[in-house]
Amino acid sequence: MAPVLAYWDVRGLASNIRNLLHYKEVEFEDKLYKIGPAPDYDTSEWISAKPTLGLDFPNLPYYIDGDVKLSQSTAILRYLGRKYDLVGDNEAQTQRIELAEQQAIDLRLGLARLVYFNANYEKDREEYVKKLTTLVEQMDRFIGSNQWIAGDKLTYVDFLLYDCLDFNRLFDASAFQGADNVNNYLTRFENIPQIKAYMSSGKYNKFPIFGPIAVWGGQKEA
Amino acid sequence: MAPILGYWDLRGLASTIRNLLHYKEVEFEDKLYKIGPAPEYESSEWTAVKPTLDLDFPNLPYYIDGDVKLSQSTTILRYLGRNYDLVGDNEAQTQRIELAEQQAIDLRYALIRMVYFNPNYDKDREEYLQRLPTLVEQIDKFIGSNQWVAGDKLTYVDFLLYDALDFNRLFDASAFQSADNVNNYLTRFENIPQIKAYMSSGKYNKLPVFGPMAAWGGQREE
Repeated sequence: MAPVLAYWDVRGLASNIRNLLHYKEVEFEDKLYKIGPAPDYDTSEWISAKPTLGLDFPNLPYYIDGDVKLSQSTAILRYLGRKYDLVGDNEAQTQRIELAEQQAIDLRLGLARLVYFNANYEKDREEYVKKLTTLVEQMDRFIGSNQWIAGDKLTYVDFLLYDCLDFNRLFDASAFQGADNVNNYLTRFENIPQIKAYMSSGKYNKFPIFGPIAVWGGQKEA
Repeated sequence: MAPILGYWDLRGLASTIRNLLHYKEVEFEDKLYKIGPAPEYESSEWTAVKPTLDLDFPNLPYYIDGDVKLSQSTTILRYLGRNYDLVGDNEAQTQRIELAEQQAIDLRYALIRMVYFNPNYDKDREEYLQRLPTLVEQIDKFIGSNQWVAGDKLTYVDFLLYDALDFNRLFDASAFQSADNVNNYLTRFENIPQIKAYMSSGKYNKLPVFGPMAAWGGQREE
């Protein structure tokens, strides 16, 4: 039976995992749970399935492959990294990978906090854009002339970092102006043959990134 | 030269790391940055040194040990885990450890989100108190009859999970009332000889957990 990756029908915490599975050409079930329209944003499709899956911590995304039953997107990504040799080969690489992992998560969380349930969105947005430029600069220096975070080897963190940067690039392209290393890195990722094929297959959607309740990124823009 | 752990003078993201270093009886410099009083909460002691430490992503906590210069608490913890064999010995253990790691981070973050800069604190607190018993129950089931998360072996995640649970226990002890496995786990951790020694040394402070601007946990209560 094919492994199952389940999440809402948005990019959110799962598209980095979907990208990795497509890269490794894994035949998997990409289970998409629907969120109903405003104002209720009904999630009963997930809520009814939630207690039935044998997960220790029922949540989305989840990944089920035989005896492996995981939730928590970072735990899933690291598991797939080990399974498909998308991990560092030594301590120095592992430190770079794990540092970038946490920075990527912070980058994504910063945007999520801004756009979900935020009464101060307009004011916070201004501050966020200023901070974002600095964060992108730091990442630009960290990538430097490396092909991937670990150096020459593609690892699970590149899938994570691609999304976290891309979400922010879609939010504010101006913060990425001049970040040549970052921009080349993003293009390099998009040009990985299996990724390129997936992104142009009609099955990949740049949007929505977040749920429909988010003040930005929750709609399937044209 | 002794390794340096730098952080604010509170538990926050660093006491997990301090506990691990004390457990391994590492001679380290526990550098504590002060935050000034309300209303400015002045942090120039940190901002002045921030760009001078040669960190790729200057932030607190940081850990500097010779060539190793890391920020991001989870990265530091995982590095120390590898360095001191506080990691899983096989894939099954690693999955449990990494799942618990993410759940612990979520548990700690839920409290952080609620108490910092939250105009809705009172209402959110009520909802949180209702949710917390279920979260504790899930962890109670997950720990089960295991001594530590991985089974018999103490790993880095036990240091993280101890704090995430303890912060919440300090916030609302009632949510822990019937969570026997969790309560035994917390006591077991506190009874590790080196941890017990540290916690009764006068150098360990249960509070503050958060910064002085937090709605809860930011004061050194008696």
